[in-house]
Amino acid sequence: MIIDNDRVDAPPASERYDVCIAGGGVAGIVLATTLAERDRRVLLLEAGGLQPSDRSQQFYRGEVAARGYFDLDIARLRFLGGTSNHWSGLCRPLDPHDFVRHAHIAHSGWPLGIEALQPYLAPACEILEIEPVFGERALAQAGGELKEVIFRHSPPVRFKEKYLDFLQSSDALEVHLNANLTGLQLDRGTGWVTAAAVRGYDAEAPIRYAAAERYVLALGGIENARMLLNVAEQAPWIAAPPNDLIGRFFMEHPHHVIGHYVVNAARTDFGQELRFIAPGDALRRRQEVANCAVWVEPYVDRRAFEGDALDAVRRIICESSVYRCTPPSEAGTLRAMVEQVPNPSSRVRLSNVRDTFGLRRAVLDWRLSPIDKKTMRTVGLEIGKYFATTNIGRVRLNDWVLARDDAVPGLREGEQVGAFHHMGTTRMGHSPADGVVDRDCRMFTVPNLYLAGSSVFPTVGCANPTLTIVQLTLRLADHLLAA
Amino acid sequence: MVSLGRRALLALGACFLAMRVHGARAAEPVAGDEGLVILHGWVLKKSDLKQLAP
Repeated sequence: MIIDNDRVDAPPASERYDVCIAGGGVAGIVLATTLAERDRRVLLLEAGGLQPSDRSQQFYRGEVAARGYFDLDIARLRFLGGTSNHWSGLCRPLDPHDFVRHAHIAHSGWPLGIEALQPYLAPACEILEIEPVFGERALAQAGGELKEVIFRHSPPVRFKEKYLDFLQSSDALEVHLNANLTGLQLDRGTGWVTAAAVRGYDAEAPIRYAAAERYVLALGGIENARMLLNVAEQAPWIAAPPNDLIGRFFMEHPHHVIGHYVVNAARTDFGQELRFIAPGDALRRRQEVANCAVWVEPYVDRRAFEGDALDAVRRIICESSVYRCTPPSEAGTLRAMVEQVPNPSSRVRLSNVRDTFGLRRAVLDWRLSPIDKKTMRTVGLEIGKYFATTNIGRVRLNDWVLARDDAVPGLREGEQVGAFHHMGTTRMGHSPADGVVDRDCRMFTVPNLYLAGSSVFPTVGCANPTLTIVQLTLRLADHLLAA
Repeated sequence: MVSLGRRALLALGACFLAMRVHGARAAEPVAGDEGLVILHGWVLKKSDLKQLAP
């Protein structure tokens, strides 16, 4: 059933739940519905309503430090369905090597392998309404350095619409809308959460407390960390060294147009469809770079381009100095979506500014590492080589990509910079020394508190995170069902 | 005495040579691949330079 805290002056029911989940986005809804289908008593707390509102959205306001980023209340949606209300639907699972520790990438490696998520791939694809087939093939004549990878497009599934009937009709599940999680009560002796503090928007309304056997934060990659850091203000032991990684290792998928290409008119085998090219294993290892998917994205009909690629290059270079820095209009862009490598200095921390519930707002201090730029340059050059040596066409890389420094343009330079993918801030690790949660998404310091969503990713590959979020959430559901 | 026409031809030839030299100097090698160069951001085969010369 769905209870709107705006309409009913009732607390989250006073009985004890099996699981209390905070956050009604992709992870929260998948977890709640999966557990409720197996007759677990579930409380799902959603801070927003059924529609977006300034009243709810303003709690996402925060500060952006250092490297520029989108306004934090733009990059996320705070109502039922969460970011599934504006996601693009692009899906691909992480690659097997994304889970492995690489000597050239500090803090890399998951405490589990891809085989732990593999059983959940088909069910996750069913939820996202995509085919569970994600091939890849080495590009001919690229010497194994490059491969073409396949992404799938979800319709995209809007989780509010898809699950609303179930959320309303399930007897095992209570969904509370306009119910803000404002804190967790912890027992210092056992380290367990004993209750979740919940408030509606009415300033006069009392704080309600909901009790459950287990609690799950599914608030998103920034809010999971923000909530825990706020809780740690009252219970500092949950984030004291060596458990002081909460908020660190924030990662995005840096998005940048790294160059443009022209295609020989004679190459009719190079189609008009969008393609994704990624570095092969050998290239990544030899050049010591991370993962990356480059969208080879036509921006006009290639048939409009007369002659071969070199004719275009000659015109561009020799006949007009203007075109030396302006791409041709007869081809397409190379748009890189890069695996940002883990960086402990890239983090979410707390502002001194508090919201109306008294919680300190988030500060996003997003920082890239030299390897992030190196990945773009290396893969861009390799694609340039591939186009030239196979005579598909020619590639022009942007000046900043070729520059031998670590500089990457930001929002001020008109770059897209990111994709609203907020990951890594409560990372999964082998122990408290390298993670906030264990391989089952359980906090090392709070035994009945779990974290769901991309905040637990220790590394992020170059795949959009939603499919992996759903896989991990289904695995978490199995863990909670077995507990 | 060199005729005016011949002087003009010599000047044109010098210009052509200068532009070829400029193009060759502007092209940077691609590390790890001797057959490729970068010219004004374009990743090119060395043999492209001859065709691209004005």
